[in-house]
Amino acid sequence: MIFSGGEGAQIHHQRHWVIWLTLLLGIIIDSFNWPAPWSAAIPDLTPLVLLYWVMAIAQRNFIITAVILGIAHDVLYHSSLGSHALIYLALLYPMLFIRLQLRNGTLFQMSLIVGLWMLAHQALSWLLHLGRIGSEQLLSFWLASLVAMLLWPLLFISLRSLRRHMRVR
Amino acid sequence: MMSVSALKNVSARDQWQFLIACALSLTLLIIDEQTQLMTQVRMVLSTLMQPIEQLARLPENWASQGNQVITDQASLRNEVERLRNQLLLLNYEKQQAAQIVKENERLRMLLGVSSRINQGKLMISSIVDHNPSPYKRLVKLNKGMADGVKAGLPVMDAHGMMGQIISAAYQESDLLLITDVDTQIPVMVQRTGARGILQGKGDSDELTLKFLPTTANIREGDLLETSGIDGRYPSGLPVAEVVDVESQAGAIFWKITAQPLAKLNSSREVLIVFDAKKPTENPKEQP
Repeated sequence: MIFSGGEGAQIHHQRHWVIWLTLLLGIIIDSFNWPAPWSAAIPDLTPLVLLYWVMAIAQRNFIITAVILGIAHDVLYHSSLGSHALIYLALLYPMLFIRLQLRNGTLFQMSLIVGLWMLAHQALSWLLHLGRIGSEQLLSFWLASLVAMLLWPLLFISLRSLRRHMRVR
Repeated sequence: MMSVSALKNVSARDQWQFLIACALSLTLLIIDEQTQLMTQVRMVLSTLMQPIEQLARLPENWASQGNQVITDQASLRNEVERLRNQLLLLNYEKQQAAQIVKENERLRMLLGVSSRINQGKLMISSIVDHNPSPYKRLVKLNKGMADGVKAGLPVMDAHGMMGQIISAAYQESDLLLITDVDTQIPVMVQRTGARGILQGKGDSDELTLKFLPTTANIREGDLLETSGIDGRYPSGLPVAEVVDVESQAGAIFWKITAQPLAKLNSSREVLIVFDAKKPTENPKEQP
């Protein structure tokens, strides 16, 4: 698509708030208080939303966004400041290399990668907290990556239709 | 549109940004872990994040308001009746307790021992949220710096010790429950005065009493109260009840499991204890 200067600038301006709004929504949903036994099985939505935008907007590297989201996460979850920024950065970096291939894959392939990616996310946060998690929550904690895998097609399709509707490019 | 090949590789600029971001995050992490410098920063940040948390709490609040509307008048009347009766009983017990306190102080004066009864100021606060993190046993209280709440204050419910405030934002604060692994409370057995350290298990609602030598007398049903040795918790607050005592052959210490007296999962209203007398402060005042 070819934009004239003015239109391009306007759309560039639009792009930012839609991305931030979806990320903010992700943070809000992440701080919901889900019923106890399955609360750990609900994956963090914010990294998934971030992953969508990393794939969709190939012109940006989202490194600063990842740091800001990580710090927000640390404040909400009361973990050490900077710990989730590191996790998000470590997860973001490999995705920057494969995002174009990933974007062109089928929904099934994407979901599979997202599941593995979320497993890495859980493993990193588990390591960072020195494995301090209740034994009754342990199973649902690792199940979160499977849930993320199943959730991905829905998330991907809704965010894509939002992006097309708002013409975020 | 930019050609795909131009986007294919991660540029040198991306790599530099990544390295710098990693270095900054790591620095932040080390500063936060090793020093107290970030307390203020975290306070400001959590005050900024408060609207987000309040938004996330809305659905739950609506649900509980719906429940309140459904509660009918008859059951409310019953509740009022029950509370009135309870108040009457409590007032009677309070008078008796006041007399006992006086008598106790007089006897202690006769013995020449300083009183260890704390008459701190109390503030009622509500639990508004549970921390979503599976790693920490944290709840959020609706009183913050604006009400004078600060980190370090002990929190009780009607039955016993709940935990300690670990950080305060402007209008909210975080309470670390005694069942968190990071909580360690110096306690003593009410019956014998034997001292130990009570630690949270993190993965259940039980506590472990550590460093109580096998020579000490202890049995199931013994009550544990704060000993006040470390000066972080005032002395004499009821904390837990011993539910299991095990000794392993050759071990120096008992393996003791205790259950918190406070209703950690069901209490909605809690008491923040202010100005409680801390026993360790007294010797400093008298050189």
